[in-house]
Amino acid sequence: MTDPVVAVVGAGPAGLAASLAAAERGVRVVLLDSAAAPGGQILRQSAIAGHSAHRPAILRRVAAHPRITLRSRTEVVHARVSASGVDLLVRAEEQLRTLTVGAVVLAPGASELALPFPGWDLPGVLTPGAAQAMLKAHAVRAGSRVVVAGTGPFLWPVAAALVTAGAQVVALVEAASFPTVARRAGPLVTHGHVVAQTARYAAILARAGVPVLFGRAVVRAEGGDRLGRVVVGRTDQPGSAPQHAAIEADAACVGWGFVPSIELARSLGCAERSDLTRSYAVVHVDEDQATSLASVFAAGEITGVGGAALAAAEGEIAGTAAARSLGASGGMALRRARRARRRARRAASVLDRAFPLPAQWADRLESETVMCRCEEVTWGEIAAVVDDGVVTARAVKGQVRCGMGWCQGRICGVAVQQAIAARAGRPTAEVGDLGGRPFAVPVRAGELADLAEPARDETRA
Amino acid sequence: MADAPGRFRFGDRTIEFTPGQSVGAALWKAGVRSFRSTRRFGRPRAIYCGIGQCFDCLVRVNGAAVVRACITDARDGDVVTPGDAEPGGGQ
Repeated sequence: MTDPVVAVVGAGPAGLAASLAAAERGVRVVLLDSAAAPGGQILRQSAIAGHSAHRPAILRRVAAHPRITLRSRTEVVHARVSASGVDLLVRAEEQLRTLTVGAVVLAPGASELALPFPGWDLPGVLTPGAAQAMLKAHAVRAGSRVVVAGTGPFLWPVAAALVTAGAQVVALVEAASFPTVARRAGPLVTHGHVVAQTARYAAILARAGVPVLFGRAVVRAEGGDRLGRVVVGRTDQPGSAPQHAAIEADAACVGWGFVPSIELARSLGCAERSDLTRSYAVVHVDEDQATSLASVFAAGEITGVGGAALAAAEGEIAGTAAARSLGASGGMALRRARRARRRARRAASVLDRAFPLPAQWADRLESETVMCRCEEVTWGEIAAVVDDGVVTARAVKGQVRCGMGWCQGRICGVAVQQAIAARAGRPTAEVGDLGGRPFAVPVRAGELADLAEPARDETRA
Repeated sequence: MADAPGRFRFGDRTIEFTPGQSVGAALWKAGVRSFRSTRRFGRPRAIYCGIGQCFDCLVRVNGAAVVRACITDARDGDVVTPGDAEPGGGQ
């Protein structure tokens, strides 16, 4: 019998903090991460040889810790609670293996929320996170004339990074109106670092002469085989005639915040709750970041989107609790982490209210607008089924295949749900989501067949 | 010091990359905005999410099964082709 092992899924701020907390309490940790290098999206490092700027302290501490084994380029495909703890189905180098651990901390993060609009599938329209990842890891600019649009505080660092990298950001388009943001974000003045960071980004944009358009959204992308220009319209006067302006651009980074990646938690059967201000599900956790299932803990964006500081605080608490569940000694004092968590949660809920999704976004969909990029299902096809009285997302998916492609509805799921709700005039809770799936990432049939040959990789991390 | 640039083929083009870059980032930097054509409408697809979640950026490397260009390391001498569906619908 080997020592108990905690598996941590995801090496972003939450997973890194969880790994360190568990390892420091004497447990062995195997940290599973799908990317080539740890850090998640926020702490993403340059992949280019010789470009290693200063590495954040948490990455150095995790790399140096003797009880933490990092497995990069490793996806957790499926998980289930077993008699001995948790069985994980793990995929690396196109091979599946089973990994049995005593406890697991789920910290897979989030994906970006997309709201389709006509032309959003033209190459050149991409997510702000894609632009950020290409820049940080690969030193490639999304474009030379770039529009950054959508809603939320994440647009600012992306626009600032593009400016710093030499791109011309021709507009930052924020859907929330300036009075809404100013009024609702007011309570954040007590969060010094948030204010300082925002001021830094704003200064970079101001120096570069980037126009910031509040109360507006990209309502259309145009071009032949690639983006040529975007059309920007008003969001702050619903019902009035939209005033449109075209902006030439070779890239448009459009994002609406984040959607928690709850696939694994859902396949395990963890209790969920509906996020109060967004319509997606998040994993329910208690004060110690324990889910409804023994041996399963969760931290970071999957318990409610709130950014890196919140994720790190939750990770520290979750890692500690997971270690304790395996018999590690040491109390659950963690006063500082709990205080940080409380504070960051407050800030997150303020930001959520300051940057609401535009209520009537689905009105801009046209019959030919592709909703599901994988299966190329158009809004017209979905709307026709809804008009026939099919009003749950799962039933619509069964009829027209939206959300049944490679991404498994990760990109279009929230949008499809909201658009159906708008069309049918029903609350999103009644429409429901596209539903769970047995595998958190696509797996080739051949890999499953190979798994039948038992090649168990017990807990040796 | 960064290593010397590498090169891979994409169609009739030679794409230069810096070691460590992904296939997707190198194609994007070279101005390629169609990594594949979609099965139904034949529309071009390239980078969308950039972090391996959307599967827009599918390509084949040396004729093997499709991979996500945004999370696949570029390697010197590789032959990259569009990640279009094979006749019969397979990927």
